[in-house]
Amino acid sequence: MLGSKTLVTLFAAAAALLLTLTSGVLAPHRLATRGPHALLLAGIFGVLVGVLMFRFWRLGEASATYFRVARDGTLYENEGHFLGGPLTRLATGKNEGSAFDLGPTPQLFLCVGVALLVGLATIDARSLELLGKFTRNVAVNTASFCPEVEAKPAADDPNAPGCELVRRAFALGYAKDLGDCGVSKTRAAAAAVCTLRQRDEPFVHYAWRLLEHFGAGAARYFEPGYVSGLKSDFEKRMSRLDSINTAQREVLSSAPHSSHHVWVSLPDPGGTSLFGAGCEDRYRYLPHRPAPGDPAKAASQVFEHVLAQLLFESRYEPAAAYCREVVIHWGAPADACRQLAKDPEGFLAQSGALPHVRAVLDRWRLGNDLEQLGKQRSNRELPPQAFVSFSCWVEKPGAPGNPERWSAPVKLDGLDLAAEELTVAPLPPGAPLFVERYDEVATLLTRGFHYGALLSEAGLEGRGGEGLEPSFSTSDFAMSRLFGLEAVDIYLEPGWMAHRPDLLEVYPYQLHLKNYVKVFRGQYRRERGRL
Amino acid sequence: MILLALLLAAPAQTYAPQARQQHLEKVIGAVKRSGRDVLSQAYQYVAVYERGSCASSSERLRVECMMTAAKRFCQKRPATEAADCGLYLDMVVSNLLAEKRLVPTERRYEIMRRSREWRRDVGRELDRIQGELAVDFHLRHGDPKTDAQLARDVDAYCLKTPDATGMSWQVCASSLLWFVVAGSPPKEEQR
Repeated sequence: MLGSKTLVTLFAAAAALLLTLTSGVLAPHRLATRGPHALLLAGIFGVLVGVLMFRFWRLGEASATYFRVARDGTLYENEGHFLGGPLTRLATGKNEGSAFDLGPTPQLFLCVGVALLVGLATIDARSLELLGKFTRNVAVNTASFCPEVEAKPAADDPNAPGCELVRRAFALGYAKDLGDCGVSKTRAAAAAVCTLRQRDEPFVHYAWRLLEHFGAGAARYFEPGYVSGLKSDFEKRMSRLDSINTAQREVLSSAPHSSHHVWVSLPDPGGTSLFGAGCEDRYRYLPHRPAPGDPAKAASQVFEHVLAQLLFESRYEPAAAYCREVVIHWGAPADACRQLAKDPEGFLAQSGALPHVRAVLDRWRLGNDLEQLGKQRSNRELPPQAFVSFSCWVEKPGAPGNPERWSAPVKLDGLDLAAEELTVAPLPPGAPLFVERYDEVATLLTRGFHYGALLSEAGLEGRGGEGLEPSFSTSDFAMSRLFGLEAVDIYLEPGWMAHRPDLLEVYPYQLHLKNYVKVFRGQYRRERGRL
Repeated sequence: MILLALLLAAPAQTYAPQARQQHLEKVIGAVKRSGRDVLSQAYQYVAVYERGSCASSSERLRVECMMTAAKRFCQKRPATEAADCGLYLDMVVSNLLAEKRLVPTERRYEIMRRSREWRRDVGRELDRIQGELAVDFHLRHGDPKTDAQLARDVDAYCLKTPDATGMSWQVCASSLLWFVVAGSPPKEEQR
């Protein structure tokens, strides 16, 4: 017969010992990592909890019940079946002093031991840190107090000398932000009305304010029109459920944010086309100079290269457009834009552009719809011409030297769009230089594109490199002389260099192409955008 | 007669591939014949002009001025070196001009801010960049057997560098010759 208190204590001690041994908590290397503070705390925990267990469970007294293993069918008087079968079972009965119980001292030691093992298993350096943090947070809860208004540093003064000019530049759009002359976030936050507890406010006063605030808030729910307002708002939102679902679907399916179509009167450049699946990888790094491989498709390859460099190449700065949203229609008729202006819907459907354009227009309408609901912000301020465009590139033998532009309005789904056509002369066969194509393609994509001496990094002396030609007719200091070419921007005007294919091979295109692309993208972004 | 007149009027293709390779071959020969001390001396001589009287915001003026300084250096050299002097000085002048491309102004300021001996550290940075270029060149083209082969390899390699690294042909060629052929002679007097 074993007293229930002794049984429980022994069982708890055995379980704790078994668990600590199997989990390796008592391994020397684990104990060494605890640190003296954690071990001390575990010791205090063990003694404290062990003594409390001993006292509150009255383990110093004899057990009220006992347990006994019975190996026959008969049970003693005042005994009951607890566990097991008819032959061997565990019986429990009322202890009248005959059951074995451990004395108070061993019981106390067992309790302390069990608690100590639990302490060692659970208290480590992290627990100590968490305990410390908790006590600090309880003691100083600064987040619930209003922040103190700090003294204004001189640099943060909006009336500091020079701020007038900065504010003027910001108002005119020449500066992106006000910098030091703007109202800083910390000052704005400090100046705003703070409803948190003041540093010198008694707690009862703060509690009363909170209660008052709660009362004012709760009164709103008992106003007569509140429920009907809720109902009408719910019905309004429910009526737009389709719109919200469509918006979610568009996000999940990555629907296009813009749709730009270019009909090109040139044949498809072939399998290496940049505008297909995986085009993002192909346009990331392009050679600085177009190098058409197939003479029959040279014009297409040059056009494709220039367009990709202007819009997509990300070598120098982020791309200006997404290649999925710029569709090139190769082999288009020379009068594609005129057909488009005559019958927009029919022509777009015939060339397969209608679904793409409609998807973007639907997205735009949906954005406007949701904006009314206050669900999300869309780029509603963008006019449709900014994210839907139709352009035609026509290369026609006999075309005048200067490209000819033709524009016509296009009405689609009640929206005013435009078709822009640019007619240029074909490149001379075997031409080594394609800089004029950059200007022409840039003009097609942005109205009134201009790249002049003031925009060039070469400065005013960079146009055509006048006076430099004789310097390259001799062969002495051949390498050193080439540094002089860096000051010549052939994208402004190639001048005499157009007739020097040998120099064009070693010309540092990268220096001025970077600036050219940057200038173009700046102008392009002002005209075009994405939803 | 008309054809002859047209041919005479056509500009000379002084930078055609063959002309470039021949020039590089001549420079390689001249550099190999001259000692490291002479190259170092030439570098220091032109560098003084580059930092002083040749300093200009106009790149063309700067180049012309440094070439004049190089010619002046050659006039002071013995007559036996006359043929080679202009050739190896082309490499020296190009190298000096290339330094600002290889270590841009922002990087130079960064080095100046953190180093007391900034000129030595800029030189080390240049050596590092030119060394990387030389290793890449060596891995791609291996050991050339003749000067002509090396010149062809340098030309072919440097025609590709503008697209790959943004480094101009002349910057690449002069850096490779300086590092691979001349063995990167000291740019400052040893103290």
